[in-house]
Amino acid sequence: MSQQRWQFYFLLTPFLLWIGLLIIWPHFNMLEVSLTERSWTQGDSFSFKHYLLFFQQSLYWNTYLRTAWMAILATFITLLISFPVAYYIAKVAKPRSKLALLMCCLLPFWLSELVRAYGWMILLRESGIISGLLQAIGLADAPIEMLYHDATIILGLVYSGMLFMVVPLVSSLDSMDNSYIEAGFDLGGNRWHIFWEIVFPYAMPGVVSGCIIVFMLNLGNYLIPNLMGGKDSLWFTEMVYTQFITRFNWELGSAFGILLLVLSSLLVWLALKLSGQSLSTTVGR
Amino acid sequence: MIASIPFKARDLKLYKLYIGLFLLFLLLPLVVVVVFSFNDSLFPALPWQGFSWTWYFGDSQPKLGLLHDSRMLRSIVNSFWVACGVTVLSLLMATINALLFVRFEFKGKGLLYMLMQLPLVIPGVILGVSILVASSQLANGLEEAIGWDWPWLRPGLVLVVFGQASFISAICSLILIARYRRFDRSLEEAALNLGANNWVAFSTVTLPYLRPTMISAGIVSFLMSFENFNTTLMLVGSDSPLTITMYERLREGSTPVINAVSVCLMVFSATLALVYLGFRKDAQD
Amino acid sequence: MTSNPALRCQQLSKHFGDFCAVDQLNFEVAEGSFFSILGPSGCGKTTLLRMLAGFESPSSGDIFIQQQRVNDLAPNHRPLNMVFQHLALFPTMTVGENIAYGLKRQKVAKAEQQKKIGEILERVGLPDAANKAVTQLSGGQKQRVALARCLVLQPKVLLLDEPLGALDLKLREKMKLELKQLQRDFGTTFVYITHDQSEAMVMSDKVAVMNHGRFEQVAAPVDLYLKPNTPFVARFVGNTNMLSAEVVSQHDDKVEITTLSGLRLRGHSHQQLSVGQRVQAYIRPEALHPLNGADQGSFENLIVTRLNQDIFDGANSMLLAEFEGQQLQVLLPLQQRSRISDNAGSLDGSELKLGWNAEHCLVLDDSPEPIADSSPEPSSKSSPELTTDKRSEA
Repeated sequence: MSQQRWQFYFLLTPFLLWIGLLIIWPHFNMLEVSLTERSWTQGDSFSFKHYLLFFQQSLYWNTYLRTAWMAILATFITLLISFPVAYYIAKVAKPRSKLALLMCCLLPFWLSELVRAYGWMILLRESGIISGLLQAIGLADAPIEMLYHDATIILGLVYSGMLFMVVPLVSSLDSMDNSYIEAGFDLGGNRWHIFWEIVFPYAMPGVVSGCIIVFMLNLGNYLIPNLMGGKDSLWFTEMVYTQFITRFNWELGSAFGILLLVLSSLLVWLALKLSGQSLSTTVGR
Repeated sequence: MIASIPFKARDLKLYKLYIGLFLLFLLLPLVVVVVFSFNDSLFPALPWQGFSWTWYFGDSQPKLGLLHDSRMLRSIVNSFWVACGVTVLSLLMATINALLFVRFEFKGKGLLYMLMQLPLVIPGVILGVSILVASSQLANGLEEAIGWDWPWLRPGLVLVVFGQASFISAICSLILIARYRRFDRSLEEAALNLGANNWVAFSTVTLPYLRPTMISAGIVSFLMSFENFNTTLMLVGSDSPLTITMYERLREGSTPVINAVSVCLMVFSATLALVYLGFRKDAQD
Repeated sequence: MTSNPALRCQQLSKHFGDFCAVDQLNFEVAEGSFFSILGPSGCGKTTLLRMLAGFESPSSGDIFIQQQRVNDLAPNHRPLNMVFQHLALFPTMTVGENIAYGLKRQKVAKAEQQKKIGEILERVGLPDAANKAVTQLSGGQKQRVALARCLVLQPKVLLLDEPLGALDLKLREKMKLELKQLQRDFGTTFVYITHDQSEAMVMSDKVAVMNHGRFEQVAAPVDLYLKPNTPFVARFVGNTNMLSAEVVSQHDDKVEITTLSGLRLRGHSHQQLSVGQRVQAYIRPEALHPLNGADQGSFENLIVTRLNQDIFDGANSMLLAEFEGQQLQVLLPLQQRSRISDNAGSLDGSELKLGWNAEHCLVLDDSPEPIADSSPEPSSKSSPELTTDKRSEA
């Protein structure tokens, strides 16, 4: 049918334009820029200079590793905190409180990350609420600065990622038939065994998808480290920003961007391989 | 549901305590932001100086309220237009993608479907940076080659719209595709059978079926655009959207007017979120 | 056949690659009749229906609706309507809007639309349903709305794609009769496809039994049951027993055969058979009469079997007996039951004498061709959804 082919190309063209012009071409362009050495006298030439610089400057690759490590740590903590909550929502709570709880989890995340970070800043800073309360009840005799530590960054990341962990976990636990748990008890399992052998494996797709999303968000986060970690929080996205906007060194910034992309793809790929899931089942929901 | 998981009364109490603490953790920062928007003090911090609407309606320095803060108001207007643009673009792309990926079978469909999801796994900062690099190069190239100067290829609100739409379209597409997959094609055939032509069948049967989902996808994209920070930061020019303005204020150390903005954002987001949930319920029938 | 058929197909074929779904069909459907196409899943009946509706284009051959060739007409321009398998009522519209849909496309005036909707709902027995949402209706009501939506357009032919499949058994039985009644009232030509032989038998004026893309036999239900043309029809329509045998002699339609153990039996056949040919004798369960003791009855054929099982199912109660390694089903009416069981305390394993007449014993050559569906089951069959059918499903 020629009419069908015509319709097909009519739809395919905008799709290719969108994905090509806004995603693929810019990234190849960035790759190209990162491999270019600019010189006023000799013109542009191909060079690995910026990547070499990254490995020579310990500040750069230390920040790189630090970012990866803290993103992973925060993801893991998010999972630990979220799983009991998700389990409660999916299996323990009665239908009405279940909805209310889910709402409570959802609503803060309809809000800008900026506002959420700001809330924590009011709470944690030297002149903040918690410091003030501690002084008022006599646990501290001078203002305490709780912002601008690594732990604060982790706290902020965990808080930011919570929803993206809870929702996939709830949806995968919700789909689990209670009779699996009942059968587990019936066959003589205790709660520990049932959790590790029945519940957790069943929730695995949710766990993996939650972890991947949260990890990606952590790694690419700019606001939390920037606002809660203070001026020298050493986060890799901040370095990308600095090179691009402050230093105007686009070649080095592009190289950093590509390296961050490689890092996230590598870790996501590794997580998928280790858990035996595929990208479309985890992200594509 | 508790029946299926025997908990001892004491364990259940501990579990509920945990959930309570979790909720406190979740909501505390937001509550703090709301409360301090009413504090009659120049700083969003203790001590409490008494209740006041000044950060909303105050009309003179230094206690200039939101309604008279022209910079803030202008950035809200900017954000509004950006969000409108992003919503229109994203819904258009999502409809095209849904039609393309549900109605047609073609070679390389799997690969293209993966490409469609790609923007979701690229950190927002990188997405912004790559579009910045590519569009600037294009702008420079055009200027050198044929002397055209296209200002919208330079950092600014138009570029922000494209940058945000690049990944928000992907999210909308996934939402719409999931819904369209559940559409019974025989409904369209029935319409044809009853005398409708292709276009009438699509607009009277398929579109009404998709409409609730399109509305909820539109709300999602509007909110995501309004709150986006990472991608926007890289592409913004002299006119800044709300999140960027708020961020700058935060870095400068702002008066509680920023709390007032946050509260308005909360009310606005919560309203849209409730509307969204209403439509999502509709879409599941 | 009639001189002016509502629907006529000539050499109609449909190929999907190497697979031939519909194979050179020639048939006519008389004006105002109820025509069923009965076949196992994968026989090509859905493809045929979709070609009639215009959702598939034929590989070759022609379709005529009241003498007009419709091959090149788009689905929305064909003067026929279809009730879909899952009804395809538009969920976003009310009952009234669903019925109005086709009228709007015909540009019928608003007032006229309302009048027609009212009338048609009255006729299908749902007078107050116009403003109801489709989701508020029960299964049977949805069925009637789907019919009304088509009938209001007064189509020349109405196609029905197993519309009763989704209903539960009781309601299905009821809707069968209701559909037949509606068809009579409206006088519309119905073309009904189904895999359920009971639906086809109860409602149809004519049934076409379809297998491997061809019609095995087109006949009235009674003829189909009593005079099946082919082994497939004999096995697929109704319930039947089979005995392997060889031909001894044939005079006109009277045939004498011998079973594996050399027992002589009489039967009839419309086929030309040769002496010594391998054949199957088909005997309906209700034609086999259990006899006790010395009772010979007046039957032309008598055999002694071993009783395997007694299956009580009210009016459909059966005995399962074994003869020469082949299982026979014997319908056991309630009044005969006492006679049999009085004699033997425990039935299982005892001897059972069966008698029947030659007119109820159809002899057909032992077709080497494999048959698509499994062996017949009692009463209405549940469809084994084999997806050998390569029609383009949505």
